Amino acid sequence: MAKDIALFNILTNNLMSVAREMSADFLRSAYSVVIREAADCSTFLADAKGRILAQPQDQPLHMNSVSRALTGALSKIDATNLTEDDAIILNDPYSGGQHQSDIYIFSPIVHDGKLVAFAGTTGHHADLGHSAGFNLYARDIFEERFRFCPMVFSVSRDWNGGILEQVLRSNLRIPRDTIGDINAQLVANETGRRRVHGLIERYGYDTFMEICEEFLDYAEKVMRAALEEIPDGVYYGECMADDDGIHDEPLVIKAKVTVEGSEVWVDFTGTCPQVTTAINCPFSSTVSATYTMLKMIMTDPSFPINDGSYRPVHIFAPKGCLLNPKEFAPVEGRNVIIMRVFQAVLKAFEDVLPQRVPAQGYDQRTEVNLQWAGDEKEGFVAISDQLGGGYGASIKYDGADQLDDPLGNCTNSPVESLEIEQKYFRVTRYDLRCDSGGAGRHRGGLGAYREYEILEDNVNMTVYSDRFKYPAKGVAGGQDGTKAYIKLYHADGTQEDLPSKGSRVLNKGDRMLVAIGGGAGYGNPKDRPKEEIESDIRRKKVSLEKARELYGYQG
Amino acid sequence: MSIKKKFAAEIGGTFTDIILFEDVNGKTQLKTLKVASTPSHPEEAVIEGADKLMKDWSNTAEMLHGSTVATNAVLERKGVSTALLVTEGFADTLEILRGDKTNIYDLFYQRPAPVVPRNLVYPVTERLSAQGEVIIPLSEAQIRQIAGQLKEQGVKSVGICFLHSYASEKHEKMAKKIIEEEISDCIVTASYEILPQFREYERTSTVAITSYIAPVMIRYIESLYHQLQARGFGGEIFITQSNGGVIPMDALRKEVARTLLSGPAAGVTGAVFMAKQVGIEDIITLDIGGTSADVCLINKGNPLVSTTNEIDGNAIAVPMLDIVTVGAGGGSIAWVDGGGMLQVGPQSAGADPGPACYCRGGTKPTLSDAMAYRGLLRPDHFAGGNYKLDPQKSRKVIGEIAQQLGTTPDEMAEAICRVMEANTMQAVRLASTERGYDARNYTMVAFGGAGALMAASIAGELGMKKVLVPCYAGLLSSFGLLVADIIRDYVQTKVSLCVETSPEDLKNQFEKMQDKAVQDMVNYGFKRENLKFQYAVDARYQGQAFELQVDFDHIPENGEEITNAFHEVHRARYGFNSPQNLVEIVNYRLKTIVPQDNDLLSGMKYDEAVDKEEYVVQKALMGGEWKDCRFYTWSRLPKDAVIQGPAVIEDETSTCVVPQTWTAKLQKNGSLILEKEEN
Repeated sequence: MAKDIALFNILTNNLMSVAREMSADFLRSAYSVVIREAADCSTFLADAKGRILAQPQDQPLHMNSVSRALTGALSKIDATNLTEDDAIILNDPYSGGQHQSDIYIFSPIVHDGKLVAFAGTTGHHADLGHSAGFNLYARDIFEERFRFCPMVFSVSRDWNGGILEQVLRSNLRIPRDTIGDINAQLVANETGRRRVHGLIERYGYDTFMEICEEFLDYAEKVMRAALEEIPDGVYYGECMADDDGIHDEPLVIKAKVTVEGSEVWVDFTGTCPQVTTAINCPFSSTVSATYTMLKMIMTDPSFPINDGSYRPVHIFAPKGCLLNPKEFAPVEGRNVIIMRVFQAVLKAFEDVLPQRVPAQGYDQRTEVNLQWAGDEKEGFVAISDQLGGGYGASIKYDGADQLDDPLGNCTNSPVESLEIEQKYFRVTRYDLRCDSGGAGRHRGGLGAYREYEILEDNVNMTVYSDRFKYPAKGVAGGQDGTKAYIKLYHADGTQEDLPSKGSRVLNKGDRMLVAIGGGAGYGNPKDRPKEEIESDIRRKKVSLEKARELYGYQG
Repeated sequence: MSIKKKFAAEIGGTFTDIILFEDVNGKTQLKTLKVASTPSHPEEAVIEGADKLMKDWSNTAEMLHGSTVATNAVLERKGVSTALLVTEGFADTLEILRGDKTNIYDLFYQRPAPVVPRNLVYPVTERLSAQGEVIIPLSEAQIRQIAGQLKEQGVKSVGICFLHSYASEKHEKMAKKIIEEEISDCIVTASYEILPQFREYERTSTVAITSYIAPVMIRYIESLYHQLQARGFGGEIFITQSNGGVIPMDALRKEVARTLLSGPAAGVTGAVFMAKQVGIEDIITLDIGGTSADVCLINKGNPLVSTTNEIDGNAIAVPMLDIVTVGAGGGSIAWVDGGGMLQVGPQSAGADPGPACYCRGGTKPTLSDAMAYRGLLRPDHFAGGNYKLDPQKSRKVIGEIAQQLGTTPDEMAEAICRVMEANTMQAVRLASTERGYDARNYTMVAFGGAGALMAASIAGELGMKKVLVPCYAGLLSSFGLLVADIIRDYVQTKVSLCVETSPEDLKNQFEKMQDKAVQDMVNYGFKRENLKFQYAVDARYQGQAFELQVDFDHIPENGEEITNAFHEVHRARYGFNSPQNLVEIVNYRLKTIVPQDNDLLSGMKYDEAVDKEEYVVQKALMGGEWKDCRFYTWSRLPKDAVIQGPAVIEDETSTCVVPQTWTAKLQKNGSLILEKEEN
């Protein structure tokens, strides 16, 4: 503990606020809809060794693998002579990245010739060359997106019209968005750098370095204290995804969780092998999902998380399994798997921490991409919608309706913004799906309907989703949540069911309805008080028919 | 119009403050009174207080009313039963919000309850395109049928918000007309009237909140008005708004959302006024009360404005002063978290039980306890001696938390103050540096009960060299009500690239809004020639989502003028711009102002009769040492007094600390200016 007790609070809060300020700057100067409206991006500070120090209220999935990405990058590049004109760029899933759409950019902060920290950002870049949208059938990552193995570039020489920008630009369909978003990342990093220099100037280099170190120890201490409270033992959890998009078999994820003292080992041995389609989950995503889940049930939500929190956590997944695929298996749709990882580990704690483990939510990001080659005036246009679902109910609460999954925190794009933006589709429906939350003493959260009406021919639609076959499982007598589906209605009156993953060319007059699933219930529905059932009926969360059937409602 | 008297009422949870300004023989007098609030009928306390303060109502021209009644109606969900008509397919906009959570690590996240329950949301078959063309026509029969149901249920307030209605008011107007025909005494609020601006959730939420509380406020204000009239009050009631201005009571029906959360805004208005009196226009206000600190930045007398606001988790997309709030106040509790870190706030001991030294049963160390421990809040002089403090209790609780962290009570008391100052500094940084303004170029104006206790320390740390502490620092919020101008904001979404916007388009767009503004203001009884206008557009680089507001004091001549101004605003805000990119206009904004005549207040002065400096010396803990510190009584300061720190200047409503290396000078209007000595 530092001698000056106030300073520890002051400096660590400053580190957190730097990360927040970076985030605000990133969002406000970004171009693509997926970043500026859906906020699929994150900012952070990391120390010179590549360990994340501070993160804001962005995307947990991004932030809890920063340490892996940056330490991975630092092990492959020469960091000794980094200057503030340099930046490290990385999106390679096999060098600490997750999927190539997420580009990490780390800007070194150098004080008196010494590397002190990194200001970093990651953003989801919907257009990064190669396959547009989501390509389920990509055979390797090279078919998915442009790849950056960790590399150092000079911002003044290689960007802003330099060779790197030129190469990238010439591989993009919508250069304004992607180049603009990368510029926004550099702007946010600059904000972080400026602020950290200010802090070092104010409090001194030694104090700054000391307190960063202490901040990591502090987070470790809290995580260890929480783990200490869990009885030592071996716990098992399991969850499964519907399929790989080609074959019928479910993809089973197994977690063996060993708690011993203040440490925990999570071993995914027994999980199914990697698949040939683009939904493999790179190890960084597996790690991030696990860290995030543990953070959520171990410490108060407002308590900071940093690299220190990870120290007592050990994660293993055999090479070649779905959660640690071999190079260069495709991974763009890894979102299909990450929440199943989260759920498998969470499940292991169900009996030992009933107060803190809710029933499963729908917990699946559904990404709908709509692209159109455009006309003479507009050029290529692309929209990426990120949709959440109903949360699981818990021992105390009903699940929340239609929220982004716990590993993300994307917002929905306003329909009015989407329609001002483009003219090849309209959103004709975005409302909650009655009866989709699993019945229980506490009811699962509802999913939503989102319907798109296509206004031009040859609109390319790609999608990934899941839980079309296996719903969120209820707990303690609570019932399962409702599954999801996608239906396509053609102008001629015919209709068809679309699979959870894949692509389709849509034409003028087509309507595509995405029905998102609900969270599972907790406890016996017969124990739900009458007032709550009646309130649900009034608010159209539960139909009268289902209230009678599932809750035994009489009235 | 010769104003002789004005009075203001601010209703709080526990107390109602009444403030009266009178002009007696050319000298301004201010009288204040606190009476117990009467929550079920708030007007009773107002009347009771006013009766005590005023015998003769004949020259009272205006009553200024705070907004707590409206704000509480939302927070406590005590509005009227309201129905909402929306486009079919979008009935759950108020349930889904934007689909994110406020804390990313909260697995048990619960959304705030919407003000209109889902069973009173009616999806209507109709659809417009983003350009305002009719895709699906509105069915008159359906609206009549819904109106029939509403009538049966006795619903008296209806909100209407259809998709893309900012582009065409056609459908909303039709629906409104039909409902008004069908239900005779129903208040119908359509989104095109109050906020023709895109992004459906934010607009719908604003309409819902307006419909939900407007009837409550109208009923309340009318009742108050009649009771005042019965006493001979011949003036008008104005309500404060969160944009820093006031509106006449007749405007409440459409404008009630603009009055929400106006408490902190009134303080800013008061601060701007007081600063102007001493010739200062670029300020950062720091308003610290018992539970929170509010910070706002003002350029040339114009506070920054934000349009993304919320109340209790529900969006209200009307312009409000851009006030940054942190949970840091006199009652903020110091505690040690699970990792062994000292934290101060956001939990507050409030007024009850309050800090330990208040002797009301508080057992937790607060900022006020740390200040009492340090000797800066004196037991017999706090709040003019009306409120005895027991520093012994502070010493006990500070001692306990010091032991917890293995430090001395002296160190702990100062550490609590420093952490609190740092929390407040974050708010100042957010309001200034993060908005592209360098705090060092501004004067800090400190007020609220605890603002002046810490202002100089905070300013010093931020490199600000000057602090203004207005007289009545503890009452400045109520004071602000009395000096506010009448302000009405208008907005219209119309998206176009600057290069494709002709000078005629610009002129037409603004003149259309101006005509509406004139019509509204004349209806409220103001004269056309007294109106002032300010113009602005929200613009962005084509392809970006977040707009920046670009202000003009005239209607911009052409798209190029807007483009150039936007590049500058973007550079100021983000430190860079992209002159090669196209600039897109998104919203047009018009601010209509009726400036108020505040001559009444020009007579505020210090007491010229005092000519001798009086003080006592006591020990205070500053910078790790117990130093001799001079204690002065504010009202007994001689004119031209220059007070050298370390010193404390005490007043009935606030306490001002002058640290070492700072001096304080009394100003003609009774305020203090603190300046840091150059090294």
